[in-house]
Amino acid sequence: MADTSTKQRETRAQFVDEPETRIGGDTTKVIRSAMKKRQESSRGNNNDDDATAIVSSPLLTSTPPTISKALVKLYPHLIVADRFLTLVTWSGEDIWPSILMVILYVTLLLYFEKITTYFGHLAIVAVIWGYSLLDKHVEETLNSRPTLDDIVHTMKGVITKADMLLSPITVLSAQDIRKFLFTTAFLSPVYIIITLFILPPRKFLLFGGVYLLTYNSPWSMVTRTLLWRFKFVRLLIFYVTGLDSGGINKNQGIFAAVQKQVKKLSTGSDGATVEDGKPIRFTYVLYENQRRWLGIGWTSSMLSYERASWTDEFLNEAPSPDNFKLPEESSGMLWKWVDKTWRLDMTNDGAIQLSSARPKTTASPNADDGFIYYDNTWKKPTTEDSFSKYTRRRRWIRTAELMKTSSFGLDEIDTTHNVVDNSSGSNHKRVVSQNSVASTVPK
Amino acid sequence: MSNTGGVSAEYRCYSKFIYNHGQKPSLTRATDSKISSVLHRFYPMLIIFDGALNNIMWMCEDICLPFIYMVMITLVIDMLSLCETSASSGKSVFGKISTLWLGMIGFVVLLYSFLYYVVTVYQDLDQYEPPTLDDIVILLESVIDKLETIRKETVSRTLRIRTWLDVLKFAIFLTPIQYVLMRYLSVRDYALGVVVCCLLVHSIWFQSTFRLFWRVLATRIAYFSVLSIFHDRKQIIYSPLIDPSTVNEKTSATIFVPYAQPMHKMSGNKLQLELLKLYPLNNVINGISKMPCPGVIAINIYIVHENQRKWKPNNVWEPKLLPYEKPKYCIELNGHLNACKSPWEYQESLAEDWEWLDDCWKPSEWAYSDSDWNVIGHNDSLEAYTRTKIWRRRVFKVFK
Amino acid sequence: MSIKYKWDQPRKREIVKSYFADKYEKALDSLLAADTAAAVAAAVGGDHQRSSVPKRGVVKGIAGSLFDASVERLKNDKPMLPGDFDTVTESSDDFWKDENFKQETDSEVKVSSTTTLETPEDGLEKRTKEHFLDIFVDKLITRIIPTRLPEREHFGELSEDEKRRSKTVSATKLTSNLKALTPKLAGLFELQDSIVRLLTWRNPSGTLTMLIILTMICYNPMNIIIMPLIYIMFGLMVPGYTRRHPFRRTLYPYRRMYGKSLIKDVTNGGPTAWHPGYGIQEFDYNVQVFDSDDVSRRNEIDNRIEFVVSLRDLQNATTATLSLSKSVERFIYGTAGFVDERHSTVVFFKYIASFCTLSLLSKYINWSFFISLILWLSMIFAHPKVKQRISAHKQKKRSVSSTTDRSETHKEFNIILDESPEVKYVEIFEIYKQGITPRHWDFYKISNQVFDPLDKFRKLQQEPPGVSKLDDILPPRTWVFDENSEWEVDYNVKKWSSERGLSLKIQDEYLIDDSFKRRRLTRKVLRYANPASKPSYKLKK
Repeated sequence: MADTSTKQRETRAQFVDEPETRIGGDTTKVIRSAMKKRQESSRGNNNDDDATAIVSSPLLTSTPPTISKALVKLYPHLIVADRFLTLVTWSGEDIWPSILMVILYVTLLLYFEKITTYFGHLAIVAVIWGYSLLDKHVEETLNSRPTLDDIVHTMKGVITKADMLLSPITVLSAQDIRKFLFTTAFLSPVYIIITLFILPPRKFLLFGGVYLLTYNSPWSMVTRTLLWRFKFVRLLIFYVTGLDSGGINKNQGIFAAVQKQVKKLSTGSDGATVEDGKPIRFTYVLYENQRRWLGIGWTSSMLSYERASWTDEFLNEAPSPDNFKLPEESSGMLWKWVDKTWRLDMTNDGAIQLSSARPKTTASPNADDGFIYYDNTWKKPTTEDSFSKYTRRRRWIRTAELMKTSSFGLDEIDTTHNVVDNSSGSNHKRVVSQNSVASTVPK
Repeated sequence: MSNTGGVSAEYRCYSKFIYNHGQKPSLTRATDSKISSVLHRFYPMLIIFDGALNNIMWMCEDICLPFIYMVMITLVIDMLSLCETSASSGKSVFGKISTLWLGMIGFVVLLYSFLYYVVTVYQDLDQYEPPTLDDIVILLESVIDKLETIRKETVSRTLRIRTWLDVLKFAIFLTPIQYVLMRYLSVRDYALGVVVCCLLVHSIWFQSTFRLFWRVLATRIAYFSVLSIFHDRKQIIYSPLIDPSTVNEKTSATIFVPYAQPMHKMSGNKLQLELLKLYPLNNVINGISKMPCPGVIAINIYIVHENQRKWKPNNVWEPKLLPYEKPKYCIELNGHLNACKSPWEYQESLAEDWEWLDDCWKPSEWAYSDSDWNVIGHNDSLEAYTRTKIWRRRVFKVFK
Repeated sequence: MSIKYKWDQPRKREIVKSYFADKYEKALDSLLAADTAAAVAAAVGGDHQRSSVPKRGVVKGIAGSLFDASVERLKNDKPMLPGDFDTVTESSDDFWKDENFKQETDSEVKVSSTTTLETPEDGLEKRTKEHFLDIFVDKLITRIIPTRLPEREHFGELSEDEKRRSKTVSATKLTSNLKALTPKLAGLFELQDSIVRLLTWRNPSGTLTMLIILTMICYNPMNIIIMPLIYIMFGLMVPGYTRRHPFRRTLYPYRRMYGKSLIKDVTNGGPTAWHPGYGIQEFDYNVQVFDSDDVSRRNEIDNRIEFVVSLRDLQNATTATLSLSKSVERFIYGTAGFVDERHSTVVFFKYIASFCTLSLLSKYINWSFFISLILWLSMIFAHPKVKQRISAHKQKKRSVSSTTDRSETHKEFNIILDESPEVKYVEIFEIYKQGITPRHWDFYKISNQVFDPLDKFRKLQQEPPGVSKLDDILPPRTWVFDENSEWEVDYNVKKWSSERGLSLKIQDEYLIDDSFKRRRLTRKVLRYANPASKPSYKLKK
């Protein structure tokens, strides 16, 4: 190594940093630390990363501190979102708040002028008061020591309700929306005539708003399913929105999706992990690092003090692809590989521009594919090799899916061919877990 | 660095920043599968919410989009205000139709671009490489950070309305303004103004204009005068410059000490020396009774704050202070700070039967604090804008 | 005159130089004066030959001015005259040396005592060398172009040395300006790029914002003043403030942006021009992100390429301006110059018509709406997608209607061009030489010269310029002989001879001198129109 840089050991002043909690440690200081931040929030520096943990619970032991801290901070906003969504999707225990919301909307709309002239400033006061309440609420929820399970539970609630809210939208495709846009743009004179003579904009807004707000209410759903049976209604909708009549099943899709959500919510309200249509997939990333030795060429043996030959995205030591095992599954979930083998990301995470024809990832790359070359100190990345380049790395990815063990019939486990043999034998024998919520997991 | 040959620059070691999402193990393997599954399903919502926050805070990489959305919102409001009887009569039919059409187009484009965004988010999620848990957590942290900044921006400087009383006061305070506004502005302009302000308040431009206005003294005085109406925490009483005699009367912190026998014959400074020996300044004196009864000595302590502020151009500490904050000299009296003359002027105007116990004013060393008088330490630093020195001296009076 | 140096350079070398300079000062002066005088004389001498200075003269000129420059440099090795080198550039550099400009990423400057102060010795050296170039160029110019260069108007009153320096070309000034200009050019072309992107919808949201702002200006012209104010306040000063005091918005690195915006997708006008990009853009969680505009700084192409890029852009810009000026000229001298009479008259009528309608109707039209409508429609029709659709539509229409190609538009508004042409008369002289006997004259020449005794050709005993046959006579350029008029003899010899101040013997229609006689023939010539004017620089060719 003629030219190893004479990098002298850098004497660096270290910040005093309280020891990170050991995963599984039971220190219960996260709430206190969060509150501490609140008290001295006036000092403004709230990015101290002192140790955090909440009342020990099975979930806590296995969650890295960054995630638990982030979740705790998100919790108050989650609660607000949850309340709002229950209001809008009429999925709360009692539907009176939703009805109240609709009535409020109607009154506000009808008497807009009077309200603004006499009570305009009250609206502003209300807004500022709302913000202050939110501030107080954030502190209260943080004092009430939420456990990670509560957080996960509220998150699930929010997810299902948001899905319900967005389900009629996600069924459409980008093309549909563009078509909608052009049809409404061209039909706008018709709409103008309607609003000018028949339906003044206020009324139009009134009906539109009420329709949207009560979209998910049980009555409107029933009325919609009934109305949809009439041919005339489908033609009308076709003319108004340009959605071709062939979209019947699509509309059906909307209703079906909404029905399923509401059913799940009503039955699964006891917080059981509810599975929805989409598979839960994660990518595992491995970086293969190599160094060029004079005379030998590119080998994966690295210098002692620098990164290992196989690392993750954060340059921590990682097992090589052959003995890379999926994490042991814990509560009712099973990791399962989706890709058969590790695939090389030819674009090296977007750094290399590929001609569009070539596939983005290949399972069997040749020796020099997808590499980014660096100088001796892993700096100045380039895509081409040159005499001054001594190190290089490429990116391997593999997608894994998180399956619910409860959804596995015993027979299914044996037939899943793509379960990589290296996953430890024990979880094959796992008995179907106890909660028997029948939820279909599409293959 | 070995110094090679003549004058060599010795290695200048710079400490490096830490930043909050520092090096950490990749999370996908380390976290519990239940949490990762929930996070994964929460990911689209997070992306959409992050997009919305970017627009509200005008932070997305293409600034023109939020501007266009804002213009469309104003068009919609314009259309809505058409239904108002007063406004619509003014405009010609052509004007009415054009506002109606523009409002319609604005509403439609807004609605559809929201739908389009949601649909394309779900489409991209399916099409691209599935995220790693780190991506999701990074996005989560970014959303939390933005929410935090929004909350700080709205709550930190503005009025903190917590109790019903505050709400009532604020409402009463605003009614005259509302009345005046309503006479000149039409409902449309009023609504338009409020909506545009709400949309712009979290942008960088608004916040930095606030900051730059905060640099002007006039705004501060106006702000604190408005604030004082609500919270009237009148800790600092400016008006009458307190003289020692009133302090002696009003203070509730007088300590009564037994007038022991041997002291009877002493008088003048002999007595003072004796007392001083008995009760040195720093340690606590436990009084025997609350009321001034004969045969007892009352000891009062004057705690005078000397305040100074650092003026930026040449970092000079001057007793020149801002009108709304502490005066130059103030004395602690029953928890309040009262403006008073300088300690040395107290020298002469001591009440008639009170004498000085300590023979001079004992100063504490400077306590440096930032611009809002929160103490930060004992030596001057970039953060220090104000400092206080506490002068203490005791007086005593003998009740025969 | 002793030369006092205060700087700490070794004294010996300096004394020697000053000694030599003193000793030969007068001799060098005289040499210099003699040489310049000779050069000026040579140049003036060659004045009357319009042709360029002969090659030999140029070589002599260069050698001479080289000699003069070196003599002058040796002569005045005095400390610089204050105005000699450009003090202006010095002070502008201090502005950037202000402590607040120190960047975090500045690599530590090896600040050691010696290097800070540019050693006065080589500083001076550098300046004098440049200065030498200056003298050389001055001398060269005085040799080759003796006359004074035309000066330009100046705004304020110029100080003495500024006047002197602005008169002549100074090589150093020109090169330093060019060197300073190239980085700034990059910014200029960046602006040009953004404008082109705006006008061709490649930056859709930008174009929409531009249109909205223009409509606001149409509806309230005061916006023309308000908008720049807003831009300066929020576009320049607030970012400056937030750069000095960033108060939030830590940027989180996103691996991929999900979701697209409807407005951008619908109104997108095609990809933007290729840019070398930011080198390898590696996504790294731990990357130290300062703030957004740092990213653009990281992609600075190394300055060699930048220089070439700015030169190329300059070249494109010059070609663009050239074509623009050509089209403007074509209009001014072409249509406006009535070259094609019919077309120009039609154009003139169009302008008259638009002028009348505008001035009459302007009161009744709601201009703000009208102009903003025109703006929006023009930009929409300029949209590439809309253009494709229109051209496709036109193809279809043209393919349908291609059979009935209409004849070239028939007589446009039946313009009648029947101005009477300009009439003038030309003269020619038929000269007879005296034969052997005084009464016998034989035809000598037809020429446009009178060929009287004072005539130059007569003195040189040369034949006057002329032809032998009458038909070879040509009318003056751009004129035409009047077809129904012939050459007529002008019998009023007295008149045309007295006009020319010739008091010679007149015999019938001839004017006779001792050996020649001539008579004048006149003819009518016509011209429909004067030649159209041409731009001044074209006349020289």
